[in-house]
Amino acid sequence: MIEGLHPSLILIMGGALLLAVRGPARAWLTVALPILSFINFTGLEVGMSETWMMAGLELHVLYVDKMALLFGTLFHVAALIAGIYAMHVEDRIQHSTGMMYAGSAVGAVLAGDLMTLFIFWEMLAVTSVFQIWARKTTRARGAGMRYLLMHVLSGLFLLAGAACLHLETGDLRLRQLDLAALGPELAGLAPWLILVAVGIKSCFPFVHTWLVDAYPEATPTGTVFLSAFTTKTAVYVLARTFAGEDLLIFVGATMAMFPIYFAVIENDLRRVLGYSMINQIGFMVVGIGIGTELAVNGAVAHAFNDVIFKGLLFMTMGAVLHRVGHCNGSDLGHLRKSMPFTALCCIVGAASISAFPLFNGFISKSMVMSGAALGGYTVVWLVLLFASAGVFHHAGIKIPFFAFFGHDHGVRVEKPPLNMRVAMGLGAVACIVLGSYPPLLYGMLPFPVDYVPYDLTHVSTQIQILCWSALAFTLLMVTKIYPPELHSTNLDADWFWRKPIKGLVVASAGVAGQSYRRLQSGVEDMLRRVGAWLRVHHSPGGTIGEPWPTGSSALSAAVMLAVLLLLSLGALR
Amino acid sequence: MSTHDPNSSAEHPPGGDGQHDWLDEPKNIKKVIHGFYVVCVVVLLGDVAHQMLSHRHQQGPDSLAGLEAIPGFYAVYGLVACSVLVFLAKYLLRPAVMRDEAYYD
Repeated sequence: MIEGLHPSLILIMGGALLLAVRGPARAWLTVALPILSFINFTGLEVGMSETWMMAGLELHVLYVDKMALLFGTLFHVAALIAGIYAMHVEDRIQHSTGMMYAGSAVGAVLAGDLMTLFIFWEMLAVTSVFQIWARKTTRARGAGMRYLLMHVLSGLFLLAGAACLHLETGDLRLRQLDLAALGPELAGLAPWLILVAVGIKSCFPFVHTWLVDAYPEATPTGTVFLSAFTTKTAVYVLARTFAGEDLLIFVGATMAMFPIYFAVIENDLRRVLGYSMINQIGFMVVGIGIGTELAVNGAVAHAFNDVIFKGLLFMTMGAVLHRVGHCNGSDLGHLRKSMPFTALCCIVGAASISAFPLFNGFISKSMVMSGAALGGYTVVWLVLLFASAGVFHHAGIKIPFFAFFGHDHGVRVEKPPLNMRVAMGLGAVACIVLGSYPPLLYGMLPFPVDYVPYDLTHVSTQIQILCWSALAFTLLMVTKIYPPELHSTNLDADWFWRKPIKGLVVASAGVAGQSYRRLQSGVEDMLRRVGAWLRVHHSPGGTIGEPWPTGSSALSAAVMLAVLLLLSLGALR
Repeated sequence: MSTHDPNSSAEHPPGGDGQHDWLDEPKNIKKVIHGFYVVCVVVLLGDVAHQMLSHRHQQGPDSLAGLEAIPGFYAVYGLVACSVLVFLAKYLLRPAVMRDEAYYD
């Protein structure tokens, strides 16, 4: 490890340097940077820390524990895969901001205090939005702006929370917070402000819309970057600050449940993946809320796996978008012939997210469910079981079926570029290796693991639930009850700020504009009158401008001097 | 970035069109579906046998131990959950939230 250099800076500064590099060298550097950064990162050990003094604040810019190491490793793997996937892209902004984005995520998970976290938190927002804007469509511009607004808002809440905590306790360290301490004093308010900040970034219900709004509008490669870092950083912070907070169990169960309904009726397959991402984060939030070692381990392991399999699924859909030009389930189908390898990788990703035995989702999702069962959360357990069946239904079957099988709409394209196929292959291999050899991931988890994923009961019950969920899909397709994919916009919570609130703002801006214009013309009118008055009196023929007789001039000078004398006397006394 | 217009490439399909494969035959698709039905039944029977011979261990919370122990609980739960999911999404959610594609444009 390079002494004195923060481990995130290789990616951040390297990313900035990419702006100046042209041609194939830039593509290769995009791959080399995560590798170099990771070699440096492996020099970190649990217990390492570094403190900087800045403007009178003690900043813990580096704090290393097992969880930080796990997320840091994960982000390097994700940056490498996404970097390979994006090698063919001829856009230095995307390459550069992509690496800076990855570096910001590494910095955020190594942050030991809220101020350092805030800096990386905002950098995550600012660097990532270019992956959306780079699509250069009107929709992408709008979605990117809404995305940025939400994330800057999240940052402001984090800053406010940090400020409250610092004013009351003088301690900015990132630590376990207690929502129950709510009171009139600032320190009691801080956890709630921080929860809102983290809640926005980890897609709590109602503030989740930035994800399903922006991710499908980003570039094919951009979404792969986006899916890896932002929400997982938020999950990491949630695990560090709110583990064991009951409220999160119910928030997480809601998150696991509601998006699957939207996913069933959504046509844009990358938006379907966006909804299923919220559903998976729901599992993690439940795990963190339960707060036992098993459940938190499960949440963290699932975050790790989700980055890999969701990244893989976004890569396969990105490849489809890259070649076909859209990603609508209604107009795809039969692509297995044009893109057989992509189809295979998509099936691996689908099996992983659905938690098929031997694929990585299987070894982590069930840890969260076991945590819920052991905690005695009956309803939550049933909800999670429902969500597990649902995710197989909409992500596991719907995505590969409508893209690669299903009705032939005559779409024939070339294979995706080699670098895309290599990245997808790496993702697919990672899904299988992690799922087939659990000790690899379990060894990195924050707490010791005595959970055994592969036993007869777990494997057989999982196969039952998956087979019969698929049976439901098959029967509904055969009987033509399954809702057809339709070109449409499905309203979500963002309707409130994209329609009525926007209308209100536009209308009030109209009223304000009118009042301003009226005020402006009033002032202009008054100034004109004053000007005219001055012209009348100061012109050569005016009262003040005309030549005065010498006597009256001497008299007025004498009066002025007398007044001055009196004032000076008063001042002296 | 290069995207390919599906209409232009349809004339000279590079993706191996014309190679009629096994899955293109409707009767073969039927075979796959029927085979899958058989797999589902076998999986269910396997669970019945598992429960009768050696009782699978409890995975859910204690409050559901009785329900969970019923052979086929997981299979039926999967079938019902997915059907409920689709029906609610199709008949309740879609009518409520579906708008024209250019609604926000």
